[in-house]
Amino acid sequence: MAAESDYELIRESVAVPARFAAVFDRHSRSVYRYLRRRVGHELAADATGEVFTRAFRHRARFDGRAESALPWLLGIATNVVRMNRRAEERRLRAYARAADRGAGGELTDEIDARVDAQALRTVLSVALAALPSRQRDVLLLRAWADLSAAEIADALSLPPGTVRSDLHRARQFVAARLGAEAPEVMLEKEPNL
Amino acid sequence: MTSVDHLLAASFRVPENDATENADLITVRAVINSAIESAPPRRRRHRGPRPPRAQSERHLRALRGGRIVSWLAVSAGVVVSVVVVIVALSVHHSVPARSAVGGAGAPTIGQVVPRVPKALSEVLAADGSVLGYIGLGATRTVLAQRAIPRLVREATVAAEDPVFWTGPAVTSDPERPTLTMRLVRELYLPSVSLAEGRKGMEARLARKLSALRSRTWILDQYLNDATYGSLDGKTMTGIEAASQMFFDEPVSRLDLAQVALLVGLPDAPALTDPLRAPAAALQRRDGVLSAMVATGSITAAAASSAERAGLHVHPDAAYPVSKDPAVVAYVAQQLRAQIPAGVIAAGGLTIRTTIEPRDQLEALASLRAHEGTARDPVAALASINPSNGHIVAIADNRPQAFNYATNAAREPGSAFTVFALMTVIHDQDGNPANTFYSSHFLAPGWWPAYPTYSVHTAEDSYQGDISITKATILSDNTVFAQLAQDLGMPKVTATAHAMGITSPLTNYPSEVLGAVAVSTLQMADAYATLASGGIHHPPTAISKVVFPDGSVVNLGDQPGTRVFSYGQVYAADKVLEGVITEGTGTAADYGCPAAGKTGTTSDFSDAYFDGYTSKLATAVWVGYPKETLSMADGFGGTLAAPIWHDYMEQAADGFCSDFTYPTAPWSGHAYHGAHTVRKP
Repeated sequence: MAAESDYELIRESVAVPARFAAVFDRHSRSVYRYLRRRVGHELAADATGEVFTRAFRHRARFDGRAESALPWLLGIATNVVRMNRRAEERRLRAYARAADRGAGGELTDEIDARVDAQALRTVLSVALAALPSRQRDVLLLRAWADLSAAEIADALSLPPGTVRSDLHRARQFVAARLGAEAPEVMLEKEPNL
Repeated sequence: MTSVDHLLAASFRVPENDATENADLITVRAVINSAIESAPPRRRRHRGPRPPRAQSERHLRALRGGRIVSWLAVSAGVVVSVVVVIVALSVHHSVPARSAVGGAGAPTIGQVVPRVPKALSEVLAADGSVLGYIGLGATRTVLAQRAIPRLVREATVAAEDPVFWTGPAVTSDPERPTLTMRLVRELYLPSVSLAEGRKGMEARLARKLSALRSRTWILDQYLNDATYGSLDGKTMTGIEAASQMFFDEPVSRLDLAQVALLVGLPDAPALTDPLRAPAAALQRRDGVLSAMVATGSITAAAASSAERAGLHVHPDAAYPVSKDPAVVAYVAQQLRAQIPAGVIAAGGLTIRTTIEPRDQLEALASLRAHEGTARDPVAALASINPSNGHIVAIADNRPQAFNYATNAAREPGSAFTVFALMTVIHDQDGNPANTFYSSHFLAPGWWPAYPTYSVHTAEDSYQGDISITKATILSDNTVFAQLAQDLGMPKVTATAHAMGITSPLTNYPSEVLGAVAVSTLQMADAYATLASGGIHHPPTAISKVVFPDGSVVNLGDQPGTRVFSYGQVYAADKVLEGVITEGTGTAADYGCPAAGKTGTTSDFSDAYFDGYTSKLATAVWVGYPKETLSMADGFGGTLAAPIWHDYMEQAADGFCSDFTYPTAPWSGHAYHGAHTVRKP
């Protein structure tokens, strides 16, 4: 069966709501995983439900400029996260404290080999919590949801230039925190095997 | 600077495809489905001209192939004539996004929404017997006000909200919501905004409803709309459906004990399910009876005589029950990946699966024989016919619809080393019997790029210089860690993917030792590539789907891809036979030629045995749902291999032949890498 594009599916779903289920099946895992990182596993399901409920309600607004509906959905997800911004920042700081004490939290511990992952997470959590929220949104859409700068611009309705400069600033900010507080952390890419 | 992105991604990993994710997505999908189902046909308010209907149908047909769509058109005609109209609270459609934050986004009450009863789809085993049903709809029979017995009303009020008639519509006690609040929760809550907060929304709606409607209306609506339980994915909505389901009688003919049982269910339908949790159901029923005595609805004598009655539930045949909900859940999942959701939702399909009922029963029996009680770890089995990728059995020892064999992603331990074994054979033409490594504890620093990476064997015993064959038989991780470094992890990853591993892999060194999350089905699929003599077939549980108009889609004839030559596979067969005859997997030996590999994780949280004959490939996993719990004696060879043994002994069905000697034998040569040593 030929796969329909997201745009075709969503456009059909305006008249035939059941078609929207396929959009959910296509993208729910990506949206859920992004949200699980951002709001934690307790809220991820609710937040994902909220994203798709909103997307369904406003499905006639999807303009199909992008091939995939994922940037659009992650843009909605960003709005949902924004409503819980304080909760997210609290969570990041609480996470940093827990990581300091050595608790693994919900995030999976890799086999003990990860480059001093625990200390790194502490620093990163603090840095993320301290970032201006738009920069944090942009950076995490890049790092956690793997969107390109153009897709992020589309998702957040921002000019591409703004996204690029936000990305640059956010990375600099995080890198500076890493440099200041964890000089032993390696910043090179993982070696190729 | 992109290393910041990389660090962020690597440092905040969340598990993928784990039980939480799968359960959450199932829940969310149900929420979205209900939002979709309750959406009225959209008024013409979208931008741009709507294409004429005929044109849009042609468009659909062109997109999806004629057969399915022609049937959709027919069913749309039928649907119109069987509309059941119910009153529900519904989302107001012109709410702008931002107003959801404040009160303006609250839903309006009293919108009439058509609800269409859906047809069931039948799931059949390979032999045509019924395995279960897929049906998204709820069973619901609406009772008119006068058809609701007085006893049912009194019992419900006593059990849920004793001051219902005189008290307020909203209470602040979260433990004891009023019936009005419960009704709001049943009808509206799934789509309530996260930011709005359920409690606030619930209270406001309950007040609105209470101002608009009489208490009698609210109570009757509750009795018709509350969820009394679910069986096999079908939700029993309303007390009449529950009465038919559990007693095969209309609610008007039930006695006091039966009424008290049903009335108690909506509070926690799954926990007090009379079929699955009879003791809890009984306790809940007696609680309802005492509450009725407390409100003066019945006498203490009537209550105590009702308490002496048993549950006497006997499901009505009209409400079909799946024999194996986990299999049906997986089949539904596979179906959704291949058939448009609208077609599945409309129902009426016949899905012929590849499940062999005898193998499935053997699988269940073997799992339960070894891990039979609720306190035991979960044990799951997946078994594949290597000649075509047909899944003949997928089972676990738990009653829930969650399919552990297909959906739980767990660490396979050294069962994963087979991919390094196949890489040295295939990519390097290296003969495992002539290639030697030094078995010893690999202290942190041995792999300079990963300074904390150390490797020991599960038993902490070391053999000195041994061949790869010997290392496989004894499951020596230290040898495979070195071999993987010599081969390069990307090569091992490529082999794993070619053989059937679909989980994402990152080329991280410990992946070769099984520090990855894979399903039991993936492992069975990978070993099936060896069982078939080197050809990988995508695994499938569905052989064909018959649509309501009689047209058929065949999903069972997936072409295979040759990954290894038969000669190469035969060399591996001989190595892996040693695991069963003299290695860590002797508990799997059922007296016939077979090959396999144990898998044990470093903290004993997961135990695997994966193996095959030339007719059947089977993987068994044992572990607690909580991934951090260790198991006593948690070796793959002690926990998983005996289950594999019991299953294969039966499922082999008399087949007991050696792997066929290849017409073009392969011998390879000694492989030389940075860590290899001379023959001792």
